[in-house]
Amino acid sequence: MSQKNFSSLPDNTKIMHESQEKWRNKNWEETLGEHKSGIEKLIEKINLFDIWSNSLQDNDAAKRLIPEIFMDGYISIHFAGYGLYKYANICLRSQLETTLRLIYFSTHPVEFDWWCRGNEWYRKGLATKDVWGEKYEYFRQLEYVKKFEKECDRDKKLFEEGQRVNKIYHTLSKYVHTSAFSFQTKPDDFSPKYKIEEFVKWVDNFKEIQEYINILLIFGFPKELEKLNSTSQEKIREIAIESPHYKGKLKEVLNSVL
Amino acid sequence: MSEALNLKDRLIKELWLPETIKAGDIFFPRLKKNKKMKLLTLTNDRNFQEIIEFEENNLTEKEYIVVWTYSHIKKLRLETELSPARVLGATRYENSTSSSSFPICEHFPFDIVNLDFSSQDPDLESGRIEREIQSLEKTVRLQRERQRTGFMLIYTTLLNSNELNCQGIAAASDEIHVSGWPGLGLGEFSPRIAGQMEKMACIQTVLNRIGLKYSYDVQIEERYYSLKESQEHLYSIAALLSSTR
Repeated sequence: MSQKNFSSLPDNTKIMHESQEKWRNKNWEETLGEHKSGIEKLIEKINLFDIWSNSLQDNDAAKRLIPEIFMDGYISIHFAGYGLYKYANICLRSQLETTLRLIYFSTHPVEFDWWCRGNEWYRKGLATKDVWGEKYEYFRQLEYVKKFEKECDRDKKLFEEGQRVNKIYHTLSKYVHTSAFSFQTKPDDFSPKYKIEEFVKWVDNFKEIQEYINILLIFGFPKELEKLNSTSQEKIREIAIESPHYKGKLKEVLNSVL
Repeated sequence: MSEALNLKDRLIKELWLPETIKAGDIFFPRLKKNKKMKLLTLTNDRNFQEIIEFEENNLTEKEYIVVWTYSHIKKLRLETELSPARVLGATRYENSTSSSSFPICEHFPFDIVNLDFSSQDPDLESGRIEREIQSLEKTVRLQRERQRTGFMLIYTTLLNSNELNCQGIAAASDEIHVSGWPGLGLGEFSPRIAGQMEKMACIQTVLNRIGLKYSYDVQIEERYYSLKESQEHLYSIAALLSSTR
């Protein structure tokens, strides 16, 4: 739509268009001004999905779901850049859920086909709301996840005692189900603004999610990881995994895979 | 990589554009206003000048263009810039042609096939050019299955210090059986080629023979540039493939 057409917008739409244009540009500029190198590093993390999509080309679930996983990460950065922190965090929960589906559906092609067609009749008979069972049971049974869990310190375990995946999922769910602390608006602060403390909180969530997603993809697709060239393997380990604890434990477990 | 991207403008001007104009005149002599040639191009979001040049020279229009890129973020950018052209990929082309469901299949045939692997931030590990050539042959085969006259094929790659596995290229090609075809041969080259000149001669021979294998007469023009920032060389071949059937 040309600028000329914007002038003929109806009243309410015009108010929205004009104010949005201002706060969007202002917040984006402020965020980039303060965090451009930080944002570059976050984009490097989501670019790792190029490696995964390349190595999982014959996997139907991956072809369908990896672009969505990438887009959740991308839009999360986009929202955060505009000061829309609640929605930036919601994207991260979606990104985690889609990754879990990818790993599960990769070995359940019939259910994947049903799911693609919106037919999830089988879920009605399940004791839990998710196909992977209570407390992520399916993932806990994966050979290399088991080995990794055994190596990790108690509070760092993804599914066992530490329940790191469950904890971050619940943190992000608060943005979906709108607990008071996760509101986009505050009583004296209505329009979206760049806020350093909200931004930093979101960055922490973003990094944690990318770390878990890549650990799960590594252990969900160990054969594909093995086929990757050394540069790609190193990129995944160095860019996605920041925690020294996970880096070390991952190396120990991967030595038995690669 | 930025140097290779900058050199792309020279390649377009000195090789790709003049050769494609020739191809357009040969294959579509009657279309004067716009040749409406269907283009497949491996391109980069930072330099897609070939698309602009081909359009400005009335060889094609956006709706006849299919773009391939290897990255999600570049795909997003290219879709924004080049709509209504179709942007495919987010995987490496050379790996995707062997996938059971190569997503570009339905878009074949093309009148211009620009396989510019240098635009895809290539992993410079050994075996890369061998994979590129395999995907090039699969592309030519798909063209042959669906197109009767001929097309312009552009192949661009980065040559570095890795040896070229000449025997491996021949073996991979010979796995694709074509009735009456004796094989790619390549016995005149060293099994593993280290020198840049011999690599280029080998690639040129391979391209010629792949053309012959699929019943095309091949006319080749080439360019070669050394990159100052690295020990790499940018090598590009423009091949006019005319059907002999």
